[in-house]
Amino acid sequence: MGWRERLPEIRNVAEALGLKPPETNFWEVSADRLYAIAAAGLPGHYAHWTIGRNYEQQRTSHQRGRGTIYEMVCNLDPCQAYLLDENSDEIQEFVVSHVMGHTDLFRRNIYCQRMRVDMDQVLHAASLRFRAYEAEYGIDAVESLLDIAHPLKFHARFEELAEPTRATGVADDNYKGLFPAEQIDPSDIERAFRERKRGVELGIGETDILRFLIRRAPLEEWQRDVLSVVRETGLYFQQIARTKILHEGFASWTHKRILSEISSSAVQDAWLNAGVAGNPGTNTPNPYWLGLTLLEYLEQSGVDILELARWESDASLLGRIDEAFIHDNQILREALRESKLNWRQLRDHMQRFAAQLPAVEVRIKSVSSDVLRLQADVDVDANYAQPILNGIARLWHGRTELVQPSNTLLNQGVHAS
Amino acid sequence: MPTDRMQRNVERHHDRLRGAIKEQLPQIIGGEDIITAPDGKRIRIPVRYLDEPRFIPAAPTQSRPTVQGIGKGSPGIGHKDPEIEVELTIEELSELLFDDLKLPRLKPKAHEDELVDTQIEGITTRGPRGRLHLKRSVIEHLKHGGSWREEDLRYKDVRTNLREVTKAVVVFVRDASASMDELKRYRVRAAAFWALRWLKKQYQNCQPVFILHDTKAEEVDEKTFLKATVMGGTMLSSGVLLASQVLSERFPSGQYNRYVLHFSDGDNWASDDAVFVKAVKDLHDAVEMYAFCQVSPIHFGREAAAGSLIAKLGDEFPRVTAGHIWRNEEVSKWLQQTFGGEA
Repeated sequence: MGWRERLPEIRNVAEALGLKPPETNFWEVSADRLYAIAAAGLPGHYAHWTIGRNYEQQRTSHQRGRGTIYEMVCNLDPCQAYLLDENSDEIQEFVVSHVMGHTDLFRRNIYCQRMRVDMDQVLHAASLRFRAYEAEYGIDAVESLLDIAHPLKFHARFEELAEPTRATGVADDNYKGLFPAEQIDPSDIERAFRERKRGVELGIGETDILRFLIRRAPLEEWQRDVLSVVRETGLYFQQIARTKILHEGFASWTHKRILSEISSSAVQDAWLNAGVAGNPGTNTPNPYWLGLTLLEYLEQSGVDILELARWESDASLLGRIDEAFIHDNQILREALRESKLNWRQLRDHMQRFAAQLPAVEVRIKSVSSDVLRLQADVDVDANYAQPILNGIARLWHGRTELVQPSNTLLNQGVHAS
Repeated sequence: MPTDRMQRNVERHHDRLRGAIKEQLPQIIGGEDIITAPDGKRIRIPVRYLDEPRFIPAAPTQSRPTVQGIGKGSPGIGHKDPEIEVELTIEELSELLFDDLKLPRLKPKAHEDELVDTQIEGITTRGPRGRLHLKRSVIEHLKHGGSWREEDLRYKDVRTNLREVTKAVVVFVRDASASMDELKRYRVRAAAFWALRWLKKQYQNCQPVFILHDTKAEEVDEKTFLKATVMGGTMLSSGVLLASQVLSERFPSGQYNRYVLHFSDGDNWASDDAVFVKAVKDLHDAVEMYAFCQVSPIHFGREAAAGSLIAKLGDEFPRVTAGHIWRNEEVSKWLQQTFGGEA
């Protein structure tokens, strides 16, 4: 029986397990097409050299036997699942079971719920507009703008700066009489309020640098459009980055349970499990392995996995790692021994490594006519940061500085002081 | 094969890697897989992973050395650049390679020639449906307004123009004596492959001629040229003389740019040395270039090696050059020296 005929059965098992996989289109596609979608993250993505790089990198690791992509699932409405057409029916059944975990999590998890499910259409329309911009301003102009915008996309935030509220509390404070020395001049409060309000108006404190530039930099309309699209993709993909280990862990957890219900061949299952959940001996974290091991460990200690999947991200999931988990696990035990860290430090390490979100948050410190100042709370890698700073200066049309604890980084090239 | 849309992303990625790929060119172009590759085959080249800039913490200082000590195989720790290989077609590779060769002293001679250039130009009333010019036909039709008539139809015309084309002939001469072993043949193959490619790029009409010789020379086809070993001694003069004969009989200098590339390991019968040098001197005025390429482990080796005989000819014979190839990466150096001009 072909895998498509077994879809309803697999779905029933998933639902019996408490999952609610949403409507999903399953496509069988060639390896080239699958790798192309995986390289971009979504079908119809606008053109950029980094997608070509991802494509070639994935193909390289595929050719060297470092991992084949079996499927690619996109959180859209309906969800789109692309399966490698070379897969046998047995593998396809396993892949579909795995996909059910992903799609369930798309609708279950609070972070995934924030993703735009019409993102494919947004991107498709954008890639048409970008092509028109390329025709008008040149491929290089569009590409260099994208190069400036991409490093900032994971800084995109849904939340706006909080509007200050006028501190009315002083008059109503029942206890003010108790602290006569702390009486504050109402005009000071008023001044502080005005300052904060003005700061918010100027975007002081903004960490979503793209939003800041879109609103306040002297951009042309097409540039504003490009930055807005990049910012949308940032908001979309950062939710994926935030839940990568949870996603792979949860999907593996799901397929394991579904397969044990529908498949009679235990040997086959063991093999499939080894292929996906095994750690192929690289020194980057294998999200399948880590996620699945951790979820099963937590399940044993009585955690409701479906409930956990609703609220958690990688950061909080990895934060649940405890001493026993590390000691139960040979790979982690060895890492502990080799690194000479204690288990808390090891956990923090993994937690930090998992988050691909901006490792250092940067916010607008001050805006004046001659210089835009950004601020970072830790020192950043200057080699990596310099091109970003130069790019922001180009869009801002003025000097741009990054104030960090040990020194201040200045922009170079155009608009440098 | 990547999809068309991906192809563009891949090409833009390659553009970023131009410098990195060029650095590796000398190693790559001497490789066997390239020369034996069928057209359109892709060559894999390992490159560095190009990271995008990000705000990341500055590298930890020496006070935290323990972090570095974490070994391979530990999940979640350590950072390694992903391995990445790009695929280039031979066409893309030669473009990069020839880009580096800086244009040469080869100045194409312009000749009036029978070769013609056809292009779509003008309008005619007769032609195949495929060349129907819709707009012009409609205009004709609108002139009288009635129903469509056969004579309303207009077609794009094809005109042929005589154009100046430059022609070249390259005579590849190879010493096929017993001492030319597989490795030497292999270098010859690489050098000849790229030299021919380069000249074809320079001239729209570039004809190769292949000559093998031991003590006697004969004209062969490309395949035989690269493969066969003719057992026997060596008289370099025989190759030069046959090249000279072929040129004067079939490729008059008024119509062709004439190149002779002579590959040998430099061993020659002592009795032939004088004849050889004289033959080269005689050939000098008849060709744009006579390049002698010695394929041997030692640069020109013994004093009497053919390469040094040629090198000694000196400035009097500016179109005669002597070059040397042994290691893989010397192929591109030789190309550079031979076709790169004096600069």
